Amino acid sequence: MSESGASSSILVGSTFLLFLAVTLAITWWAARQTKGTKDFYAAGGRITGFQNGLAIAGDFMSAATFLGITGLTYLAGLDATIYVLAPMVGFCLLLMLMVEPFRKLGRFTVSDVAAHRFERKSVRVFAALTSLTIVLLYLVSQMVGAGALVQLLFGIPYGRAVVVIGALMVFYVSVGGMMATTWVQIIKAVLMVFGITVLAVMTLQTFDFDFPRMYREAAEVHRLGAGIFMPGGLLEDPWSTISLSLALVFGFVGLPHIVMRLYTVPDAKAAYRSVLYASVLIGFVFILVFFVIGYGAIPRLHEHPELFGPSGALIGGSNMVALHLARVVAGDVFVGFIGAVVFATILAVVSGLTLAGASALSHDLFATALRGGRATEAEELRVTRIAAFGLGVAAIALAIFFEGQNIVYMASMVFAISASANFPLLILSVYWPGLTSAGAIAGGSVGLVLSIGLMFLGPTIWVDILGNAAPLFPYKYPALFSMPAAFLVTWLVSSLGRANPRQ
Amino acid sequence: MREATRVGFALSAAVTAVFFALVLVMAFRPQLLTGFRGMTYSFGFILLTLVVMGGYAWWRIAHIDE
Repeated sequence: MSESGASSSILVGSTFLLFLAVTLAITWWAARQTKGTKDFYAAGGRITGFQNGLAIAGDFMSAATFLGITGLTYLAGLDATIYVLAPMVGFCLLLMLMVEPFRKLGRFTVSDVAAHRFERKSVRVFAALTSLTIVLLYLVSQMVGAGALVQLLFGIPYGRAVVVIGALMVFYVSVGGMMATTWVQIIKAVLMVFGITVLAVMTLQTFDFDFPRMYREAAEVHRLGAGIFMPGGLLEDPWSTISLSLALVFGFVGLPHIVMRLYTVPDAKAAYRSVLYASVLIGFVFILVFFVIGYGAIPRLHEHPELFGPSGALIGGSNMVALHLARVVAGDVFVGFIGAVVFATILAVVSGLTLAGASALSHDLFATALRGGRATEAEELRVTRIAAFGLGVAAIALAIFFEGQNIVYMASMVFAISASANFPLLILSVYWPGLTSAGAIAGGSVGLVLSIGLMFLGPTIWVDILGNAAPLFPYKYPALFSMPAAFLVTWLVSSLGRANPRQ
Repeated sequence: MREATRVGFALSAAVTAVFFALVLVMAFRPQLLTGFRGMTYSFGFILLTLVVMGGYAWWRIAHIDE
């Protein structure tokens, strides 16, 4: 091993161990602060706007986001901008349409808001089940990516990597609750913003901070030429482009682990501040990732033929673009630091997701639906911890089963389900007085079944995975059809049952 | 609160409409985005969104009654 390679391994190991030690200490401290359900699910509302903004940004900036957008820009150029712009619109909707109503109507979860107008428990149960579906699918996609990444970065076998990540996330969530999860997320967000900023500056330095030169060199060596500045490199089908954009924008608003963060601050002012800080941070990071790191990687990696395999493909695939670039522009030591940040990112994001899933099971299904609000806080917390453990085991098993699957597609499935099932339910329950419980469940069910069903029958699963000759549904992304169908059915069923609107 | 809802709906609808206009151009008229236009519009859109969000949040924080 070269001297810099050894330094890199030492840095990865020491950064990772330091992160682990600090987060475990925080978890121990958080456990001592956690007395009841409000502490466990919402950190007692004691997180400041700035801290929560960092945590929301951390929740959104997963390893898949950072590595995935860099890789997509490197491969396809401008089309990756949809993944950059759509979340900004999602944040805008969250800030302007959801912050105040969510603060007024909810306590801990998506279901609190969706079910606030209905006496019957069915809407809460339905919202909890869709949240659980979203969380589990998102969790599995993150863990599949995480296992592969850790295997590639640290040489740990895939199965063992998934078990270690799963065990740590269950520990953070079940012992420290939202307080520990938030602080893990804050530390990770700071590390990630720092790492990405340094990587962008180092990349620009290799072009003498000359942007036109960077883009000119990128176009000269890329297979698309100047086409990397035009649409069409990735999404050749226009309906898929629109459908994916719909899912990314409206799906974001219904993500359970993002919604939960609005309750961790003391008041609506702090909630506004936190969404604003988060969007500024994410805007800053996305600008660096898309405009500098993704495009800058094209000429810089091209200069290193040893990074490409015999088939001409980048070693490790497009998800490794950022890490290869870190090595090229800043050396082994920095790539070690970025590797450790990626690992921290994975741990933080899966912990947030596990907490959202466990709270849907314990708060919505057990305490409210099953026990009718009569469960004690101690009972509810016990169920949350058991649920976190159960979710962890399920996520580990499913991640091992789905090893090698397309994680970007799994993640887009999550957004499509959220846009088709959760978003119509949330927005209509807040803003449409005519919504009935039957309409909410019928519309949400149509959105849920259609989004999953159409993806199953589409080209990616029906043809690429199951090996059939032609897809039964021609498009890769279903939100263009499933989301309007959910709204339509909700409106129709609610209008027909308007005689008894508070049924 | 009612005024906030109206303003929030109007601004978020405007931002969403601009975004989907850009998406529609990308999907159906990609030849309109030659040279650096696509990247310039993307960068401009991020800045526009941040300014609109910042303005709305500042206004609500000043007038909120929670």
